[in-house]
Amino acid sequence: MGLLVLFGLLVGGYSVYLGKTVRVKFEGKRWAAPARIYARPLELYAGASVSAAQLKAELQFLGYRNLAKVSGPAQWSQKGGRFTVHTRDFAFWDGSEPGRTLSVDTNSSGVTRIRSGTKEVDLLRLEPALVGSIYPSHNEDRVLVQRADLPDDLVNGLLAVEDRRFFEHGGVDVRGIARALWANIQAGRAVQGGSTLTQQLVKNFVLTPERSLWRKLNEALMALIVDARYSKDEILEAYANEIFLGQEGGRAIHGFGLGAHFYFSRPLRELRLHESALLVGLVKGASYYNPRRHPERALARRNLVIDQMQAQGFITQAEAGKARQQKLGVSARGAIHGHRVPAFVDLVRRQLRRDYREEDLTSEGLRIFTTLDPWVQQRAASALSKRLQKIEKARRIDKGSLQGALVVVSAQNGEVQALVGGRDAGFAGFNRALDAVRPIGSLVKPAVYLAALSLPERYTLSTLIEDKAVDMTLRGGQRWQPRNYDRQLHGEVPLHEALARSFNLATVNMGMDVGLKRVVSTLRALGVKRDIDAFPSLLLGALSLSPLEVAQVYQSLAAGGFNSPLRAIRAVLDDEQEQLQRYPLTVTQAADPAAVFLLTRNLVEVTESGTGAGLRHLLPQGLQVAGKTGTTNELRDSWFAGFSADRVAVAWVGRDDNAPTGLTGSRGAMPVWADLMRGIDNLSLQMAPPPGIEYHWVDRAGRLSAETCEGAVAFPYITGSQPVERSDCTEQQGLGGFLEGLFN
Amino acid sequence: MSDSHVRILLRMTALAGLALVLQACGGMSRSDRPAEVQERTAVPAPADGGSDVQIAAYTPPAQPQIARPKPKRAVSVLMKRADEQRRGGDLDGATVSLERALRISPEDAVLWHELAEVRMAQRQYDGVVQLAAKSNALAGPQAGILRGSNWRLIAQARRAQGDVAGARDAERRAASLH
Repeated sequence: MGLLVLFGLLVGGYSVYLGKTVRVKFEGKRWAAPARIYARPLELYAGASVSAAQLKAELQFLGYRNLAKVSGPAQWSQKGGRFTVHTRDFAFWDGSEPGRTLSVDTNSSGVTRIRSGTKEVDLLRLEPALVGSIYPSHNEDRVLVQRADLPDDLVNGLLAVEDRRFFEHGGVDVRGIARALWANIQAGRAVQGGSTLTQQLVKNFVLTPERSLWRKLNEALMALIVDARYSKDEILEAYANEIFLGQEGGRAIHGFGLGAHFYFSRPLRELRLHESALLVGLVKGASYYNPRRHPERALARRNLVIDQMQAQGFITQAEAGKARQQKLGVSARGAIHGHRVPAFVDLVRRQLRRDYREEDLTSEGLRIFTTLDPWVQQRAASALSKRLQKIEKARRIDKGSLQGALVVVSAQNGEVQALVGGRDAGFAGFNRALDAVRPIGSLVKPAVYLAALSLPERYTLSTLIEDKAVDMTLRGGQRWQPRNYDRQLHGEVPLHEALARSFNLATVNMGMDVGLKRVVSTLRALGVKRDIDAFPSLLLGALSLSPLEVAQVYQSLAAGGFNSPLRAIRAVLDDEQEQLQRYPLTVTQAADPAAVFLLTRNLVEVTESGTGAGLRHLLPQGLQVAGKTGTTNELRDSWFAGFSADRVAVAWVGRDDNAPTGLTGSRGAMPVWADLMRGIDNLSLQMAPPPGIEYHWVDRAGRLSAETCEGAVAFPYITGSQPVERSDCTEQQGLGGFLEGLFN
Repeated sequence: MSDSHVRILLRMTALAGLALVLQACGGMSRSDRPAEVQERTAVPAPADGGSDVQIAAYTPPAQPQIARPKPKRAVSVLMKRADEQRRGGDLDGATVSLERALRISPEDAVLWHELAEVRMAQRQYDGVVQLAAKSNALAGPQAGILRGSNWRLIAQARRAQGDVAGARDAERRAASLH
């Protein structure tokens, strides 16, 4: 009797302990939702430069179905340049966009007209693509769903295959075990499991994967507790969010919500019968039935689920037959949808960590709206990997030895549109765009020349500077004798030519005259946050920056001298749509817009006739861009940074072991940059001068001249800084004066 | 290339350039880009194996060929919305609408000015000065009224910050634009 009481106490006490464990796991875990990261929404309006090819890709990113006839949300059809799209509803931080059927007309220059029924639509945005999530360190990722979100087909499939008497049993199903056994014997293989959904849930929640009778008993006891404490719907909801459905690298795919996105690139509620059946089939073994790796197994398993559903009367014979004929329909893994932008997500995480606690990011279901442009991102990733392959082949460089990074930023507001951290952009390894901090070489020169041009009384584009030997003794007694890339001395050269041809010696002579202090403060104003050593070698790029940091410097130039801190995030919302944070656009004047205009004119020259002249053959005709090549000692780093009117891009090519690549800036990074810019829409630099700029005709020696004189070029000058000396060629003065008057 | 060749080339291009300039004089407005360059020498093709440096005079195209039509309606929808939001006291909403418009039309000096106005209503004076300066940098020479409004905003912001001399300077500039 005493023993019995003791046993009863032990079991009772143990149940209390298990009950507590169950509660902690069940209630704690149910609410842990990782933060979701969204790309920028695509803005559509008449005049938007969105090509048919881009629109198609964007709809695919969103998992919209391409059908012959559109009959519901998330579907589209195309006939020539006309798209019919039925959008999904989406709640943005500043209002919602209703789902509706739209007709979007496109031609070669972009969108020409948008209508909804017969009504013209001036402006709309598609929902943003989901590009990633921030899940906890145990790498479980999920998209939380509620009981009401579960499609009937999915629930019926689960009941049919996994737990027929789910709504009747008390957590453990003795009859079910017997029936499963019988069914398996009949089929000659395991077609049904004996564990209830509740038992499977408990197993996932708390228990180790060891197989023992003790564990089975524990599982059963806990299943009884769960069933007693929670409703069937709550259990089903927890199960739907907990179930393991796949693995991608270090990321574990949990729950049907994420499963639907992971395998079909669309939300759960949009799944059709055969797709729900596939997810149900994966419950039995997500890696064995992995539809991407073992499509035949997955198909057989899916059809078995369909058979069972029919056998148990959940679906008709006709429905089952139709579903069985469908292809697997699993989306490509290259799609932007499933975490193919690890470098960008990494940047977002780093920005968020400044403002949020890690546990809030991984559990509070935050929604993070970013600046990522998935179209540009896709183009950038492909430009880098394809061009590096080509270069390796053409130059007989060891296959796979070159690495690179690419950053694309919106010129006027500093939004990061794309970030590629290596040639395999889908691989979440070393993020070179943020962490490859390398000497920038000649990419520093625009800052040196901007410092000079900001002193209009001393330097203009036509000022002659001396490209003569430099021999300095540095602090510490070290001698410094830099050379030009071509090892020549070029004598007196106009300032613009020294930059266009990237002469080192002219730059050092001029930079020392301007003063290192001025150069350092120019770099600071343009956005360099790192320590800068004010040594003469700074003038030739003895400054190490990451590609992203370089992009900040060139953004300030591209925006006419107005720095906007680079941003990857627009807004953060909590799970109830409340805005937690917005990252607004700010601008700070970094330099005189007139001086920046002169510099930009000079950087256009680089790409037209200087070290970047190769771009002419790589870019579309008529696209005017500004840029600068950069090459470091022994050809270790190949850089190109530049901009059109609306985008700044920085490309770096080098090796992870920092060994020489044999590539100058114009042979490595520049073609990568050009491939990217060619693949996306760009607005040509318009070069409209800001206030305070005048044009004057000068000869090669920098003297005022008539425009009909040989070699005369019209240069922009900051008012009052134009040369006073006149050239000998003045016979056409009259016309020259007339033209000057016209320009000023 | 010999000197005489260069001279012939230069003369030919000078003539062509003159023709271009004369043609341009016919219908060139002040905001048009001047045909800057007269000199043109042949540029060697930058073949991959070639020299890293090509020597040639820079010859920008007379008119950039790639240009987009202005998405006027989309921008005006957002400007109107921003205006309503501002008048209704929803300054954050107005900011969001204007930022959205600026993504569509990033070099629109009027939008930058409107954003400066919102900052003024928010009493973020540093922002006012910067955004108005940005608007001025983008405003063409013919946009005297807009530049005048920008300078008046700058004057107002500087005065609010206690910079009286700076405010007077900005007011003078505003006045000179009428």
